[in-house]
Formats: sequence, structure tokens, C-alpha cells
Amino acid sequence: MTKTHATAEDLFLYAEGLLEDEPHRLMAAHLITCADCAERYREEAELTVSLRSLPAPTSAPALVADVTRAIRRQGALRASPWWWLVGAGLLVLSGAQWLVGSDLTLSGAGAAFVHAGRDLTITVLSVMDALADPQTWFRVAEAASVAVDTASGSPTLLLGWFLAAAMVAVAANALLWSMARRVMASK
Amino acid sequence: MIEPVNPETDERLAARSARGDLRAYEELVARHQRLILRIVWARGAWSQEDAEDLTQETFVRAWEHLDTYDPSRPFKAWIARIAGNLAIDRHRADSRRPRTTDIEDMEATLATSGPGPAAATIQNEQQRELLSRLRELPDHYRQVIVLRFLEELSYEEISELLDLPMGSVKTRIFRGREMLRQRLRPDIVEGEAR
Repeated sequence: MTKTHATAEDLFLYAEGLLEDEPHRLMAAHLITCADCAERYREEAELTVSLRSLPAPTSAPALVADVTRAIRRQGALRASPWWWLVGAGLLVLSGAQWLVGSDLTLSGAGAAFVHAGRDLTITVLSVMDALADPQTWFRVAEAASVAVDTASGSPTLLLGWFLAAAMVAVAANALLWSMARRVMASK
Repeated sequence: MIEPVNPETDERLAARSARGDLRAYEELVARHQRLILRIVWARGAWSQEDAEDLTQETFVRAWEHLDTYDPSRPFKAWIARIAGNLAIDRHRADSRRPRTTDIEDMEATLATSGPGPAAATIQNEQQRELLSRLRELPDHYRQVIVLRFLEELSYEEISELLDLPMGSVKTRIFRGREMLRQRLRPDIVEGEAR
């Protein structure tokens, strides 16, 4: 290395600290005695300094908040089909009541819509009330017991009951999971 | 000894994020926003505004696909790949429609960015020249140079981030620098060829 000039690659590896101990020591000694290679090494180091000083984008202070906002907005968009579904259901319900009642006035349609909403609320509250009543669960257990008794003689029926129960459990789990994810995203 | 403020690893934060924990994800965004900004910048988003838009898009896209992230792999490498792919797609789309010149974008970056540690000795004109030449480099050379010298990542980190062998990283950086030098000072480099 002391007789000939260093290669461009060796100079680069030396500047980057990538040479092994012995080649590194030899290159250091060579640079002391060879002005030409020392000049090329200086240019190598200058290029590194120039690159490091380039004005690349820095961190954006609002970026975290912007990302969070965008994710929430998308979460809200994802949730929207459910609300559209509820709205569409109410509209269909009120439309049906409107046709059955043969009331073709605008106020009649509005009243039908309100009635349908009220009926739906009453139904939901009744279901919640029933779920909170221990008697309901007693009856469910009783029905299940009867069903199992009935099915005990028939393995096919028992398997059917089991599959139905599993499907209900999976659906409930998926629904709860989706709700929990949405609630956490809105925090 | 001072305890780290948040000792949780990226991978644990990513697992929490995948369960819908937005606070955990905010921490990941804060940790990696600078790296992603520079990756998309290196891939052609030359203005701060473009780079920020693309960085935001990267993190939103990653959030949507967190269920595909494998926690046994580094989160940093996963999100860097998403950023790189998005930047390439954007660059392709941009190249198909007329837009303001990149030089104008670069000048805006020069005007809005603070100087780096060694910038006191370097004139803006030289920086423009260097940026311009850097932009002309093939993508695979430009990216490793930005990661090594602007983001100041180690060779190991670049290797992990780009899923490349160490030898390839060294070769790309060396060849990229040589190409850059030739474009900056062709007369001198021709004389140096040995």
C-alpha cells in the first residue's frame, strides 16, 4: 500500500471505518506519506460532510395529530354503513306503515317515521329489560335443557344445536370486537 | 441511571396498535416520523409538503394493515417498506402529469430547512448542486446514500431496513458516491481513475 496509490474503494472503506485493524493501520500510515492519496481522502471526507449538511425534511410537529385525525376519520367512515343500515331500516319501516295505512300525506309519512322509531326503541328496551330479568335466563336454560333432552337420541340434531351455538358465539364475539376497536380508536 | 420515558419496544406497541390502541400507535408515529419523512424524500418527494403528505399516508396505510404485520420482524423495516412502495407509486403517478419543477421544490426546502451541523461552511449554491446531482442518481443508490449520510443510520440498520446483505449496502453506497462525485466534478474524477 505504501508503494502504490490506494484504490477509491479502500479510501471509502477507510473513511467509513469499515477496514479491518491491520489494513486500517496500513492505510493511516500510507496517508501520512502520500500527498495524492491524502488529497483524495480529504475529498472523500468533504463529500460526507456536504451530504450530511443537506437540508432534508425535518420532523413535522403536527404529523402525529394529523395521522390520528386521518385514522379517526377513516374509522368513522368504516362505521358509517351501520348507521346507514339503521336509517334505511327505519325508512323502509315507515314507508311500509305509510302504504299499509294508505296515508299519502307528507305529515302522515313523518308521523309513520316517528312511530316506527318509537316502536323500534320500545322493542330494544323490551329486549334489554328481558335480558336483565333472571326469569328470562331461567327460561332459556329450561329450553336448552329440553332441547338437549330431545336431541340426545339424535346425534345429528345435537350437532346442529352445537353448530348453531358456535355460530352465535362467533358472531357475538366479532360484533363485540368491532365495537371495542371503534371505542378505542375514538379515545 | 435515567430510565427511558417509554421502554416499550416498537413490536409491542405495534401489537397493541393492532388491537385498536391508537395511543400506542401515536408513539410509533412519533418515533419513526423522521425516518419515514427522509425515506419518502429520498424516493422523490422533494418538498417538505410532499414528504409530509406521503409520510401521513404511510402511517395511515400501515394502521389499516397492522393485522398483516409480523411482530417477529422489526416494525421499522416493515413501515419503511410501505413508505418506499408508496413513494414509488406516487412518483410514477406524478411523472405522468405536469407539475412544478423539482428545482423549485428543492429551493423551497432550502429556504425552509434549518442548516445542519456542518452547513456553516457550505454555500446554498453548492447544496443545490449536490441535491440536484443526488436526485439524478438511480433510486437504489440514492436511497442508501440518504439513509447513511442524511439519516445517519449504521450499515447494519440499513441492511435490516432494506432487507439487503451488508455487502450489497456497502457496494451500493460506494458506487453511488462514485457516481455522485463523477457528476459533481467529472474532470477530476476522470483523472483519478486508476
